[in-house]
Amino acid sequence: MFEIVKILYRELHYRRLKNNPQIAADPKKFKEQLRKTGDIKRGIAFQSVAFLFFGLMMAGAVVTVGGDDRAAILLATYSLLPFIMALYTTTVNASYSVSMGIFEPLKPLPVRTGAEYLSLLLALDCVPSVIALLPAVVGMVHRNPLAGTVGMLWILVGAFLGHVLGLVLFTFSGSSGVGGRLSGLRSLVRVVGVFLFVGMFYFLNYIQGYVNEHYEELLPFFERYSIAYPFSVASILEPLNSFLLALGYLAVLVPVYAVTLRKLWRRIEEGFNAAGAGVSTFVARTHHPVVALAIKDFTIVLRKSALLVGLVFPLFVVMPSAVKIFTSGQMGEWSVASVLLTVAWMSSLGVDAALKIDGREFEVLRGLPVTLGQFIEGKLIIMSAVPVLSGVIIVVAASFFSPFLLKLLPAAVVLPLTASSLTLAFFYHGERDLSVPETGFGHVFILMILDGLVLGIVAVLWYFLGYPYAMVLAGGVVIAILRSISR
Amino acid sequence: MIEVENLVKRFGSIVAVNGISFRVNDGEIYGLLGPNGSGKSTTMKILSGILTPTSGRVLVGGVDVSRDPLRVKEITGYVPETPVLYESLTPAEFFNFVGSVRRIPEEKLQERVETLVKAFGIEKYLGEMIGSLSFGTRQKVSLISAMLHDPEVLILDESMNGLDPRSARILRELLMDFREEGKSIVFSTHVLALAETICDRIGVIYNGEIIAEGTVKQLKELAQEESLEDVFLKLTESQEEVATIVQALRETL
Repeated sequence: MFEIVKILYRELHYRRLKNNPQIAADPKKFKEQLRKTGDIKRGIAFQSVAFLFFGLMMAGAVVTVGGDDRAAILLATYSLLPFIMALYTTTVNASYSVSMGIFEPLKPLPVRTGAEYLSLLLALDCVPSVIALLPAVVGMVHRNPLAGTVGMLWILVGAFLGHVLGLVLFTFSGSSGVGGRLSGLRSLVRVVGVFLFVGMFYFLNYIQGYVNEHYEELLPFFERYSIAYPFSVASILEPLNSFLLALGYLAVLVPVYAVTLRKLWRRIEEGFNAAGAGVSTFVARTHHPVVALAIKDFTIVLRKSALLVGLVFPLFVVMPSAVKIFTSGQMGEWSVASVLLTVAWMSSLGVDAALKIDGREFEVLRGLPVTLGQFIEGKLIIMSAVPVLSGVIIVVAASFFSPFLLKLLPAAVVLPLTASSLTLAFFYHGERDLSVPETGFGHVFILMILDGLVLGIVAVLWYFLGYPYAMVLAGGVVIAILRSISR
Repeated sequence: MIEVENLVKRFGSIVAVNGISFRVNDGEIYGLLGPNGSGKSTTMKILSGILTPTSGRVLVGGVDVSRDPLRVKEITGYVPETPVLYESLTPAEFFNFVGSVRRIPEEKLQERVETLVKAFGIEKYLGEMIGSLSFGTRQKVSLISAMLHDPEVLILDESMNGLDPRSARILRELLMDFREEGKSIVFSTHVLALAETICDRIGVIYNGEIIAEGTVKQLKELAQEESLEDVFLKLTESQEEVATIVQALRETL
């Protein structure tokens, strides 16, 4: 059985990597990633080590927080992690297992396959998030052995709950169509999963601080909803009741799991073929080619979580400074401006994801009358979208405290465009044909310096001469680059 | 009309196309036949403006592909041998994307998509992700997207692959209609019986060179063979090789 699962696991991760244009486009990177993630032991160990860093952070908080009550509430909050990660990995892996037909090559062979193979395959990737909670559980055991042991049971129940819910979500809404039942919820789960994973460090820090500060308010809330997960985890200080409640959860989850798994396996046995969502009508909606290119990119990004991570990553880099401004209450023009400049500076980090959206499907564009200028302008929109949106949100939020800060809206839009257009000009300088350039770490490093220099000049101008002059320079750079591109 | 003169395409030291010349008139279906790796797909990509020639002259609808590949892409419809489509988009989203990039007016796009989607029977797949569709359905999406802008020139690289008999017949009838309308069509296939029925003239390409050209009748006379399949095998020097392999297989199996 293990041999078959090993092959299936490798195939599953092979397909997942193939579906990630940022990796699939680079054979060396692809091979390296497959070596890391395609092998069960190495893959789980690799992910577990990555998660363990957060695990130690959580353990530290559980051990040092004052009082068992607080520690139990912290553990309850942290137990959301295995739940969400299990929900996320199960939904994604189930989707790949079914739609990409990873069981198909085994069907004509005289080997035994069954729902248990699928179950093991889907559960494997949930393991690292459970391991991540182990140090925190050990910390709890150290404080209160019985409560800690029941806590471990709850972590497993949480991961199982996420796993079962993921299976249910996929099985009862898992059409390949984009308008199917619960498809919005599936996308939401994917986006939340991505944000949680990327922002885990901030999330854990925030939770720790919040529980410490608001313990008195949280306690009655946790008591009132103690039957519902994850609040139920806080009941570990009454071990017997908590244990029985966990068993109650399992009594419901196990049959649901068995039924859902069997249903999903039947789908795999029957073979995956898009059944069609019934006769649909086509509604023509045309746009300017640049807008059409950007819409196409946005649609693909929202459906490929790996690309989403690449594009939202810069946001997480600047998040602490943004949060700091709002919490410090120092809402001056210059403090908001410095965040906007940092947001813009970070926008070049999204270039790799933006340029690799098309992946191997880039051939489609080569067959269409798309000019290099249109292509670059489309990429400019997708690269700047997250930084512009976050800049606008920061300015609007800041204006609630000081309305005069609304004047910074143009900066929120123009500065990321300046950095992004510089980045694209760097990669496409001298190019005549549609192409996807190499975007290695070295390139991005040089770009950070280049963008930093230009934004630095803008900042100096802003500081000494004033805001309008800075905007004229930043806008001038964008216009000059766009004009040279469209020529 | 398509005019190809001494076309050469090299990829590094590999010569994919070696000085071929042919002409496809308006209202003509030209079959480009050849074994795998003979240079058919490279030639077709050059005719579609996707690749630029190393040397030689290629005019498509009077436009030089080396000078204005963008204009060539505007007037041609190209269907690659394996459908290359955005797998995360639905066919409906993909048609809107192609329509936008080709600047097709909305009313015209609506009308053409509705007609072609109905003709190829893919109405129920319009909302499914392309990646989840069968090869045949993807091929239909690729064919429809190549015809949306009513191109002057159609380049079809083994586009009958994966089509069900109904759709294959519809495509055949459509190609006949396009010929009547005066469009130039370059068509490649490994189904020689099909080439025999729809192509006005055929060019046999082998090792990057056109080794024979003419109507089916002319080719049969040239090779002194009865069927197009035998003509093809004889011209591509595969007749004896095939016989030897078949004999060896019979002995082993």
